[in-house]
Amino acid sequence: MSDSKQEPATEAQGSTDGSIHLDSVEKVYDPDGEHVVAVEDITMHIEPGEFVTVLGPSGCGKSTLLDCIAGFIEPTGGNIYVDGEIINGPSADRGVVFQENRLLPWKTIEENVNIGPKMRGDVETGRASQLLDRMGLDGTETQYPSELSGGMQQRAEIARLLANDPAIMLMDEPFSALDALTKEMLQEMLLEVWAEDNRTVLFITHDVEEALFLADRVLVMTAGPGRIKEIVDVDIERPRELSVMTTDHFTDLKDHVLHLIHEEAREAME
Amino acid sequence: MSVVGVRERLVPELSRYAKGAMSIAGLVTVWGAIARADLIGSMPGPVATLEALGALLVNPVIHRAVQFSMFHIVGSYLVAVVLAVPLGLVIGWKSIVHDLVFPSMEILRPVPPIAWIPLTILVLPSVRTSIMFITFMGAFFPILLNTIRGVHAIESDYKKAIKSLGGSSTDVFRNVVYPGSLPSIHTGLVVGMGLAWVNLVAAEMVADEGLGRFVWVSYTSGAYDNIVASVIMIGALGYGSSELVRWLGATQLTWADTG
Repeated sequence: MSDSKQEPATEAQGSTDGSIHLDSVEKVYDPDGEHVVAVEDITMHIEPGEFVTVLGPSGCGKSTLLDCIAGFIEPTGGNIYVDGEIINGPSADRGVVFQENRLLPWKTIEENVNIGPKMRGDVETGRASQLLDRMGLDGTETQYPSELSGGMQQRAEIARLLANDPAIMLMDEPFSALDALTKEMLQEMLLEVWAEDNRTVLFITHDVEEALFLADRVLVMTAGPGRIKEIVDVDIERPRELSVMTTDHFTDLKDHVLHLIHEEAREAME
Repeated sequence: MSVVGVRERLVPELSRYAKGAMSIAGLVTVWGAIARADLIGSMPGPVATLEALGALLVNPVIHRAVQFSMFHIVGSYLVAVVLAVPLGLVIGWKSIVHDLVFPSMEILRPVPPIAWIPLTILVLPSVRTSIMFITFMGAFFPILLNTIRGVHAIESDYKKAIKSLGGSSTDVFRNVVYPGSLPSIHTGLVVGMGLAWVNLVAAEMVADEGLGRFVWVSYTSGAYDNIVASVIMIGALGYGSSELVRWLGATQLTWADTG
């Protein structure tokens, strides 16, 4: 993508390399004076271009963490830095893909893809079609989101994000509502897109295989309040194909992560 | 498109119209039977009414009445739309405006618009403004409430999506709040047009202008067939204007077309 991303970060300010630093991030919800700790003591550094998945049982606060990094909500404790600066609300540098697609139903696919550039006033003719092509959605320009299948909608949403050229992609269980085949196809597609552009990706999921297949590192969270249980390095060569899931090494990693999660589930029940 | 395709599309349409025609034929038959049996005083039957209607259509008096009524309706309705839609959008969008403005709206809303007639005739400068105010009240609240409801029904993730794509508050309004509430606004516009007619006729009966006046004059002069004929005309005009609003809206909301 842009040249600045391939150069080392020589400028401290204004660079959009896409590093994320979480420093003791905490979010406490306080409905009616009753403290509900969603996430607690999350400290982690994510390098520019790194692919990190966040894995945890539902209700562990992983979406809360993503909402904090996206700037939709403010943490009640700690700080979130992007490229060394504390974030202040949502920004075009941090694109979000939602669990259910949030393409605007009243705009065509092309208008949806162009919306980020349009709001900045620099729509490039043909760029939307190019991105849709890349996501295997050529010919859908004039259709409305409701006319596409679930998998196509998620791909269109990723195209909308790419049109905005964010350094960071935040993905909140984007494939969890899709059938297994579509899901695998989109996982491979996402890895291709990521390998080409080298954006930082933070990807939330509750699917162990998905978490390991995609990530450089998997952040395994504890069940409520959400803390870091362990950060698992996924030392599997890239580019990866779905067949890596059957290798012994992958199975070992999976057993380890499942063990962590079961331990959590047991503790949560006691 | 193949012949089969065309036929598949036309047949359900035809049967729908056929059912509609049967329904109206049934109504006219019952009406004719009641009139013939003299069940209700000297109620004019379908034939007498049709004759009266034919005579009315070429009567300059009714032309003038229709002109007055259309002027009242169009004027009041446009004012209601221009005020209720923006106000509804702001009330729905900004909770501070909602909390400040909505309670007073809720007090005024349950008052039957007809109850305003005596006051408006006394207070407002002319009969015409009184009629238009009452008509306006009929359209205003359905449009306002449906607009607010439309804004509130929008999934908040759309706003988040715009923000995370770099959009400002204005971008959220332009790309989400306004277009997202249009289907509900459209419902309000159709309902509002119907209620505008209800109020218009009531106001015109009292304030002595337009089609409402014609019905009333027919009553005082005992022209039974003219009463029924002009009621049919009011019904047709009211139905026609609601359908016009419905159709205009549907052409603009192709994305929300649920068939």
